[in-house]
Amino acid sequence: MKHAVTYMTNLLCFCFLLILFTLLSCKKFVALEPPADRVVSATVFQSNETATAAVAGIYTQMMATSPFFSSGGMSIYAGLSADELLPNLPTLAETEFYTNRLQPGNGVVRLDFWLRLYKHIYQANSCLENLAAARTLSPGVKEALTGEALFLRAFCYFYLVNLFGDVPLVTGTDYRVNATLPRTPAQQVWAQITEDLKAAKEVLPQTAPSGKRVRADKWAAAALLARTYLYRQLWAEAEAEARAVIGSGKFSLVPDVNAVFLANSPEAIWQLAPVEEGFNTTEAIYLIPNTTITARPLYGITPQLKAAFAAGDLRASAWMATKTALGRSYTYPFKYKVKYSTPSVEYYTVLRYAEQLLIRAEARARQNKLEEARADLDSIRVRAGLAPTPVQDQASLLAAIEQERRLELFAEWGHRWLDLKRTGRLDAVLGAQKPTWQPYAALFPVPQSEILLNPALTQNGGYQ
Amino acid sequence: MRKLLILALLCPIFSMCQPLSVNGKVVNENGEPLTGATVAIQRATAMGPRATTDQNGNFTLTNLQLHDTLLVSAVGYETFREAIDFHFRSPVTVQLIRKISSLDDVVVIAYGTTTRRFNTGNVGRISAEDISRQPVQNPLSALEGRIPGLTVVQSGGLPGASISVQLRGQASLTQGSEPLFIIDGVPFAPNNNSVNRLSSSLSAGGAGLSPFSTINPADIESIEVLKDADATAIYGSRGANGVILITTKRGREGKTQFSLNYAAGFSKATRPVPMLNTEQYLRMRREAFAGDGVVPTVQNAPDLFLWDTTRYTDFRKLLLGGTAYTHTAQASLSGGSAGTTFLLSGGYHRETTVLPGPLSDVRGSLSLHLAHAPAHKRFSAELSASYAADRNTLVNAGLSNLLTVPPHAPALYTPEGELNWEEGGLTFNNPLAYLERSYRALSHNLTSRLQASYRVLPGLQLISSFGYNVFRVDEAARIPIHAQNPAQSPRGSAQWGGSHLQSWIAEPRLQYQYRGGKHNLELLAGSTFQQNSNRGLSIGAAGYDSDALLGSLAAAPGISFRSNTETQYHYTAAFGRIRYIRDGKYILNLSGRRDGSSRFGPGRQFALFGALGAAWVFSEERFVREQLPFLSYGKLRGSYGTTGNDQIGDYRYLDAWSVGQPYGGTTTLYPSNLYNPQYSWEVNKKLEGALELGFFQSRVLLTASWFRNRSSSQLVEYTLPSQTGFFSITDNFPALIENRGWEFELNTTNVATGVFQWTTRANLTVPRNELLSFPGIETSPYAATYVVGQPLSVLYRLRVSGVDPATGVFLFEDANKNGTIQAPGDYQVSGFAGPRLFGGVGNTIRFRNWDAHFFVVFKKQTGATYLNTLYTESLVPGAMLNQPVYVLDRWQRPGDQTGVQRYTTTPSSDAYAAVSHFRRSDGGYGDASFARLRTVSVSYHFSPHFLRKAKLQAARLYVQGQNLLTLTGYKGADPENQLLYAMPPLRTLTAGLQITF
Repeated sequence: MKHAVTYMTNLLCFCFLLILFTLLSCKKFVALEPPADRVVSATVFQSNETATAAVAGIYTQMMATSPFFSSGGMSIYAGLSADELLPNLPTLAETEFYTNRLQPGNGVVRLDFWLRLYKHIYQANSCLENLAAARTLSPGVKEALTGEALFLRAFCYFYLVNLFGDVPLVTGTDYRVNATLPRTPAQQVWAQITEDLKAAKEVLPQTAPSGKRVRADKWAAAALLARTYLYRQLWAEAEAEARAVIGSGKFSLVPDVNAVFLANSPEAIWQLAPVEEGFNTTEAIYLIPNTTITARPLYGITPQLKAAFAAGDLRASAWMATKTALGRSYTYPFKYKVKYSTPSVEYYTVLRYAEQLLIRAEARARQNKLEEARADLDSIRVRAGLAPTPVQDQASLLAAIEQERRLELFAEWGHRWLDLKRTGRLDAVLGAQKPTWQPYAALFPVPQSEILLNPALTQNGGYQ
Repeated sequence: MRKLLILALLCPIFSMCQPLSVNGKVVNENGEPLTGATVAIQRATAMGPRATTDQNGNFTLTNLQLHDTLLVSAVGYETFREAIDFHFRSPVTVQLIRKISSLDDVVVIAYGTTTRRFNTGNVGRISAEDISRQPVQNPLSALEGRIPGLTVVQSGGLPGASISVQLRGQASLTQGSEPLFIIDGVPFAPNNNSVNRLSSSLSAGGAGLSPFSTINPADIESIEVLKDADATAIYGSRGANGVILITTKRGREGKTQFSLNYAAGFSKATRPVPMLNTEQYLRMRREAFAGDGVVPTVQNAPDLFLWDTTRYTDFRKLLLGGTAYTHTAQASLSGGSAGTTFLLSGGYHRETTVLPGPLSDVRGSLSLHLAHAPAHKRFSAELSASYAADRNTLVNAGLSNLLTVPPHAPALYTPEGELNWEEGGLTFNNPLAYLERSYRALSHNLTSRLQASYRVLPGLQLISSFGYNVFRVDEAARIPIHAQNPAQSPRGSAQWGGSHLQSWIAEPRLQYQYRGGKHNLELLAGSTFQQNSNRGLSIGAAGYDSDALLGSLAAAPGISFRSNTETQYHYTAAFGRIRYIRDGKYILNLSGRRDGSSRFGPGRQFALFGALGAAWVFSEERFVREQLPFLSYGKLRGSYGTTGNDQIGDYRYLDAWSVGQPYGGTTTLYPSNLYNPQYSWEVNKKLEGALELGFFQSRVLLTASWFRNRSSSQLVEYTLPSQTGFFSITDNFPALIENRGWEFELNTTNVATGVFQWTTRANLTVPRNELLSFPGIETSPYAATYVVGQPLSVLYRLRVSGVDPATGVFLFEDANKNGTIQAPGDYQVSGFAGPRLFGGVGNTIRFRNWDAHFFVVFKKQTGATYLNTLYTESLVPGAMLNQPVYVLDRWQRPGDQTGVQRYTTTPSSDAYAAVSHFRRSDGGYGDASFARLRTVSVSYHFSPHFLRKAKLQAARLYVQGQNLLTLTGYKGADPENQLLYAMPPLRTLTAGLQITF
């Protein structure tokens, strides 16, 4: 017993000394390895696989299950702001879009647009900075990823500058710089978009990895560049880019209008793939009403849009549907037809061939290449089951193209709202349809909370 | 109380003619010599010779006279008084008895114990007795109202609900402001953070499953709350928010005791908010349409057309009107002999809920304490271990969308006995279906600790303690197909979650004690090594086509989410303390710690903290004793020091990426947070001064303390504009924040006769929080949130000037007179939310075999009212949602002066538009003061006569009540947690029997 106690005390003294000794190396004790469930930047951009994952993460973030700007928000909210959709069960925020009386405190504008767009921009910027510094990636991978990040950044700024006008142009990741940036003039933002897309086009591969169209390739960059030139009214450049895409031979119009939005459709230039198991598109979930007899679609097609379709237009029957609830019938967009399925059969189409044809038609018409313009327009009309356009002069042709864009691209990524805005026709068109229309509503308000958090930001005219 | 004992007068009785001188020894109750005791002779006319005992407790007095009185006194002991007569012989051994006064109760402090008398710091305490009077499942709720400066708020009345604890105000803006919890020297791995990963009916308002549900209150000997710098600086970086030490029970030497305790009781919800009945609801809907100028049709008001408007279901009564039952059983075996003590105990607690259905919380616990400290050996050791398992069965849904179901909603069951979902084609949320969404959590908590000590030299001890705590939670939730509307062809889904938290700690230390003459010196030096790890896993499975398969992950057609977390926290420190007491009057306490924490970036991991405390027991001064004889105890103390806070989450300095869902077959990553390798320790400076007074032999004890805590460069989640890609970043906050206040504690013994005793304990806290400075606030993201010179909880908002009597819509003050109402231009300061004062008053009365205890807590405060919930959570009165009856005070016709604007249901209406201003206004805040009869306990102790006959050591019958009565003018559910649609705290009544063999 006594021996045992002596032994224990010696052991204890030894332990104590051991611990005191280790105290000397306590600096090491509090230096941790990075956590197992996360990866640090230095590691992420060391291997091709993880660097790819960092860029691919932007697509996952874009493909949310709520209608954020990139997962149905542009179609729905810009559709409400324009003359495409009306809210059947309006929330306060939706009413503000529909009546073009957005309050600077509107939560959708801040959380579903402003915040989401800048989140993607941060990730793209972070990828670009890290890729530039990366030394161990395969050259092909590094270039392609740089191209994708540039493309995605340009894509986000395209919507920011269109919706808000001047916006802070954030191109780095240092929050101390970014937090106090004021709004950059829209011209500079447009220039940045153009530069990014040109650079992206140079380095992106001809075909996106895996052969599917769910990640940006060279043609996605060219297609968005064509649209950018069109918006900047650089007609020749717009025509050239659209021609390159159309002439690539990789895309074609799908004869059956019901098959346009299917996964890997030949018409798709870039689609977002669903990330949730069993999901298709968020748009399908929000636009298609459920089957209970009282359920109304959340958003209906406006009577004006419905009336704009000519008799026999295949798009009217394939891309719109009607549901009767409590004795009243409601028409709603039906481009996406499947809410849930495993595997997913519909992908969320962002850039498609038909738009390139319409871009080229408009760019050509503006340059007075009327015959060629009409050919492009007619290919769209014929697919829709309509006769070739009868119009002859430039002005009528441009009007016909505007009308065709309205019908072909309705409830799709807010095309109508952005078209009316870029052509200066908002006041004429919406002024005639909406009694509450005010010209200042062409731009969304900068979110109130953001102005409170960054006093360098200013508000758009009309919202003070 | 004042009984004196001489256990041994070791003098033989003979000879009476010796010259009178006396020598002897003064010892304490354990027979150990008492150094520095005063031995004096009192004569009728003057004081005689005096002496002080030496290191061995010996003294000699000469020149004594017959009939002198010998007085022996030492601080903390009852004075010994004995007349010298013919029987008095030298040498004499005087045994002094500790004063039986709460001043000399043992108070547990960091790495040791002290007494209230000699403490230089501020330590609040509740004892096992205080806890045993309250029928509580969670030990934290026993603290409510009992410790000045401590606010304890229960998130709701469902078993397992989390309880937030805050000491001396909001110390941190956004980061953890919970104190550090230490159980028997081992940091509790989950601290006081909710441990659930899945949501359940506990999740309202950011609350969750409390980790303290796994701690049996009956196992606790005492809970100490360390408040000021003196008490907490030795915890360094973890001490900024205070420290709560939980000490478990130990065995005592003596006869082996076997004790049994059983109690059963029932509970009802307190103050559930009454909701509109069908008639009131229908009138509200019609009024809303009329006010909006909209004609109700089957499309916009289907509830008015498709449902039977004569039906009425009181969903509040259905959901909250039930009775919960509790059963508690406790058994313990304790005892010990020469140097060895043991305690074994086991507990069982079962509690159901007031919700309909077989929901419950069951806890089983075991604990063990063994100590071996042989009297003359150098080595001693102590082992304690406790294990508890808790099974919590609740619902995987919140209450709010159940309570707001319109009162004329369709019948809950179809005539066939199935759950009903619709009437006339209009569906509704069948509350009974929600109750079918199951949730269960199994928690396991194992805490163990070994402490070994070795006396190297007399006075010098080497102590090493090792602690290990593992906390595991295993959760599962199911949404079965039959709990969903079949018209929507639903699929079943299931979720699993698990957390595994672990902490180990090793603390070797050296302790030295020197006692010589008037000097008493204690030195402590030690080091800490601590590692926490936290692993979590959660998986959601969806698409089940059969409810029978919901328990199987393999049967799931799809995975809806999956995530894991894995974090580590390493902490190391070296600490020391010097404590010097001179003459039992002057006390100095110096403590310090050098800390290293893995939560900071390289180069910023170490920091130094320290504190100085001093006290003067002026009642020991002769002039005080002579001039103020009624003052039996008086102490002035003060402390100043620094502590830190590293509760900022792990790895915030890393530029880390998390794994997202795969995209097109590729793994994906996204940035976890903005990273900032620059942030460093925040500094929290605490200053305290206090006066402690005892009158009339300490029958009245009063403590008044004043504190001032200032924190600068606070670590916060600094809000950012979202153009940075994020909402916030962990950074040092440039502002200086102060928490100051007064705390008072009064303990009185009002009556103390043999058969009747009456004592009162009261405490009061007057807190105040202030943002002292914030350079550059105008251009910061906080320009519209905080105001310099105001509390952080300032209501800097639009001000509601009432409801317009003409239009019935809320009106707001146009503070800048520019003609429009806008944030932040029209923001004004309208007071602040939070308490102005709070406290508790308890009375304990003992009469013969009876004892009764009453405890009232009170709080004067401003809080969020029902209007805040209705308008900020878009539950606008007038919509197709039921409302609390408070909304009946709405505007109806021009000229009405009301507190609630008119009903509305159309988003384009002017009344609806006012809602967005209302959210940024002070309108949702109001008086939330209350007084609550928190505890009532009445016990009957069986008479010794009966006990002898029954061969028992003790037996007691008792009745206890909790939350029996609440007095408040608050508009809402519970004034404490201010959650309108959560389960209110319960009113509980139990009865039990305790017997000891």
